[in-house]
Amino acid sequence: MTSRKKQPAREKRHSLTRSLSPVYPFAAIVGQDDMKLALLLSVLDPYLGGVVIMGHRGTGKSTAVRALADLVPARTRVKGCLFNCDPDRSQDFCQDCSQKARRLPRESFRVPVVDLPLGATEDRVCGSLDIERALTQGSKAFEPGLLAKAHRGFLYIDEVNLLEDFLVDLLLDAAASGRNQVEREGISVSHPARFVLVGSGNPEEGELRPQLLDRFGLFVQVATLSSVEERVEIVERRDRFERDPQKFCEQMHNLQEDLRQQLHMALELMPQVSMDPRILHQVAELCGCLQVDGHRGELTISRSARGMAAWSGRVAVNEDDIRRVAVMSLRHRLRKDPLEVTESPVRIMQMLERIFPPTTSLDQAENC
Amino acid sequence: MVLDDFPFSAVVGHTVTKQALLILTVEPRLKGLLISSPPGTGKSMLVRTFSSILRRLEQGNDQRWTGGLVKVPLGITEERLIGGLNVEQAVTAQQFECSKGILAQAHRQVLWVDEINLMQESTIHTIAAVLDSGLVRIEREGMSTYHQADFLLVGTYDPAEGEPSRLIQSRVGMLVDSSKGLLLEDRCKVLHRILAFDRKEEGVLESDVDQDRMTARKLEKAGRLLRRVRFPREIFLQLITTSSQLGLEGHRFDSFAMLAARSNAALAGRTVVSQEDVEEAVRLVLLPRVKLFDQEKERGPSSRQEQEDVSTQEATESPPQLEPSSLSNKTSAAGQSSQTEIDMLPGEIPDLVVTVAEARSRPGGPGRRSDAFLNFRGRKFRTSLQSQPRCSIALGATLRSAIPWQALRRGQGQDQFSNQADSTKGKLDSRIIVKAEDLRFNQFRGKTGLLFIFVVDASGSMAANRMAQAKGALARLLQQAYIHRDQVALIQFRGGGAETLLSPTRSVERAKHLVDGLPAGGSTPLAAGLLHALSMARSTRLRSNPEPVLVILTDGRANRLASPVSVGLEARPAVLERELRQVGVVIQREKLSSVVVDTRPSFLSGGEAPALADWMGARYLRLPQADNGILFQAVTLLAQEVRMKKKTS
Repeated sequence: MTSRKKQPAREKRHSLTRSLSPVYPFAAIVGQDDMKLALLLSVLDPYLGGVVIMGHRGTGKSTAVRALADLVPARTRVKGCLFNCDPDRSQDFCQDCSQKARRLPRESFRVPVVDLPLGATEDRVCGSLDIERALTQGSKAFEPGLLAKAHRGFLYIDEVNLLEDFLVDLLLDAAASGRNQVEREGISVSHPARFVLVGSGNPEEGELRPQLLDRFGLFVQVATLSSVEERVEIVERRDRFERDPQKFCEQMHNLQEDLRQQLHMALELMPQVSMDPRILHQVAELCGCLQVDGHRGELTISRSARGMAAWSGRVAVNEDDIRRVAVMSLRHRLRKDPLEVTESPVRIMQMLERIFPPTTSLDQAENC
Repeated sequence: MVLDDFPFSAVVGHTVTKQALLILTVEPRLKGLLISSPPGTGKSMLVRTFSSILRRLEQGNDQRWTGGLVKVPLGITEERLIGGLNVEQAVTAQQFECSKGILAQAHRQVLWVDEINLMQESTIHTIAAVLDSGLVRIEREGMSTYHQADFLLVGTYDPAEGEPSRLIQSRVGMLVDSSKGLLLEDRCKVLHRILAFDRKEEGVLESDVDQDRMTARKLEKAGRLLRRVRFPREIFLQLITTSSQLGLEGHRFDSFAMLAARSNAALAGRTVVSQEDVEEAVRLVLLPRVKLFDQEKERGPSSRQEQEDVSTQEATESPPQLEPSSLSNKTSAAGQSSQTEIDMLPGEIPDLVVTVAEARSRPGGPGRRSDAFLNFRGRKFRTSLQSQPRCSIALGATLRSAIPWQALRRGQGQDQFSNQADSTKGKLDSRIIVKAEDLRFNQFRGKTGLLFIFVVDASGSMAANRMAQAKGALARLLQQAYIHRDQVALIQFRGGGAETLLSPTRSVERAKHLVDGLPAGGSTPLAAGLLHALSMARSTRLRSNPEPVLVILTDGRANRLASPVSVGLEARPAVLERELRQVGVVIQREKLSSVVVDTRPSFLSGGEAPALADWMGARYLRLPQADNGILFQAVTLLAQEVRMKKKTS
């Protein structure tokens, strides 16, 4: 197996998929606060397990995800590495990087948002034989797939509920292990693939498989906004953007820059955020009372609450953080019974009120 | 003068559709248009002549459209649709090249999908994704690239064969119902013009050609004007208010409506949007979608109430452009049409229905559609080393596995890395040596899912009971639906006829919003209910969607005819029986798996339901007490059998 050293032409082809035209700015998205928050939280803690956004068509799901990349600060990778290896995490290196010398040259790169198009085949998702080199040079080399490209970035699946089962299995394997293992056609490669999985879809076209649903950290339901003012704003902004994207982005620059700053600060703050054991205990109680299977529920709430605190500029998680993130962390983990009349968010809210009575939030604020 | 194209202006009728097409040309951000119209009403003609107008634009220096028309065949493979490795180049010249799919070929042209309602779901989803982004992204078979694909989508379909998928409906700007019949006078005009065109008669179409030139000029002018069209604030607010009151999903339609109104103004040569333009936009963009929701009745009584509120509000507060009458007309017309479908069937009709259905399902029957019924369709989802009885060779995968070995097999030196020598020699001898171990086979993914169509007798005192049973079983089926990709649907019959309460769906969400039907007296149109189910089953089969399974809950005592023939009291039972027998035989002949659930206590049983099951070739289950557990078991048992049968066939 040869490593790919002299391949400048190939890289060009790969980078084409991005930045064809300006992206609609994240700051210009009207309403849908839950969706925006969930996406930001998944940036703050990549181990959160990603976000799935379900809801009406035409409510800006895809727009928001595609806009996200522009907010996220650039990251550092080993220079020229096709798998975006983090130079500070040698345990996650790809085969090429781990064979190289200790001091690796660095470069900064923009966080990738990789789109998984419908109709993608297995070999392009995992990577496979580089057919071009095989054809023109008769040599056997590994061609990285979408999982490699998405490492340390986002993998976005529109219409996630329509995805072929075998692709879902592949994604689950990679997402669970953080590595992608390719064993086929005489190729044996293992490389890191740690990405934030973001899916969107319309529940009318079919449900997500429960196994897949559970892997997602946060679940957001989006609905059509009913306020006329907001709807007018949406249509007008969209129109302005489509007529002159450049100018629109300039007009939105300040708002966008504020968001970027806030995200940057929150990212800095993240490692210091702590959570009171008492709150942790209550969170466990909440999940227990709601009969959430497994421990993903507690974990997700804790992680997203930490993100929530950092986003608000605090280093201690308070009860309001929990209240804000509980529904999106848990609603897809409650047992689903089609005959159940009470919607799961309502059940979660009721339980929240019992375990986190509103009065204590004041005491909490005083204590801080 | 020799005419190459039939003139756009010479197409009789279709006024609304024509206007919509012009609006679309001026404002391509509307993405596309779906036209519903019965067969033989000139849809294809309209689309073809439309592309000829675009060609005129090209001559008039409009840069946007090249005037070409690309037609998507129904049974298109995914590879042809989005493109992939150019195998010929790879084999003959050992070059790596990506060939464009049909979507990329349609760049800056009109993409025409005929019978868009019958197209495979996965194909529709791909088209919708490309329509949205204007790019075809290819991530398959070792290729990773993209092609530009900015096209106008024109979809045509016959509404009798079902509606197109909701996804594609939500991605195109306008929906037009072009099924209005022509007057005798107009029919004559159509004949006259077509014959004149066929015989290349001079003079007859001359004025239409002039008209076309004018239209082209008008389009060009409107295109230039469009950027300057202003939308007065209050009219714009009115439009959005209307839209939000209609309760449509998402914000795309707001944008579409705005674009359509603006384009309509530009076409009229105005730079300020008027009420009239908004009216047109509401008619083309918003109202057709309201009608759809209303038909499906899934949004619950509250939203219907809302809609009524809207229309009354419109009447009183009167933004005059909204034509409350047209809204209610439309909905009532929709109701009527389903009514007449049933009423029109006289006693003998089912036989006719059978022959038509048989002609359709025969491969190579009425021509154009036959290509959708190839043996191997669906997604080839994986290539494998294993050959199976009915497998095709996966060329790309086979080549890929053979190619790395070429240097070795030719015996041109053992060193794989002496690239230069290899590639020059490779060009001299362009044959590829393929050995048995290189062969890869396509594995097709059959549609294994089933569609359970529940047909529930909602008349009489036991109606609520039956409905509860059906819903219970339906809910439990849906809980496991993701395993087999099954779907469910619910039809009720009572009083005047049958109606779809839940159109085929996999979604628990939609099933939750199911409305309870109200029992309506003693009238039981059983045959109408069965016919309704039959037509639903047929349209899913046409789309090669999941295999339908009928679950009929009734006491078997039909007392209302499906046909409007008036029959004397004494003759009535005989006619009722004949009707049921006829429908039953059709169901049996079409090999629809079904089960008749008899809800009548045994001491009352007169044997009607068992007889029905017999005619239909259905299983029979007596279930007088409400216990959806048993019903669920019976249905799963039947489902297992059908799945087995599908596997072996």
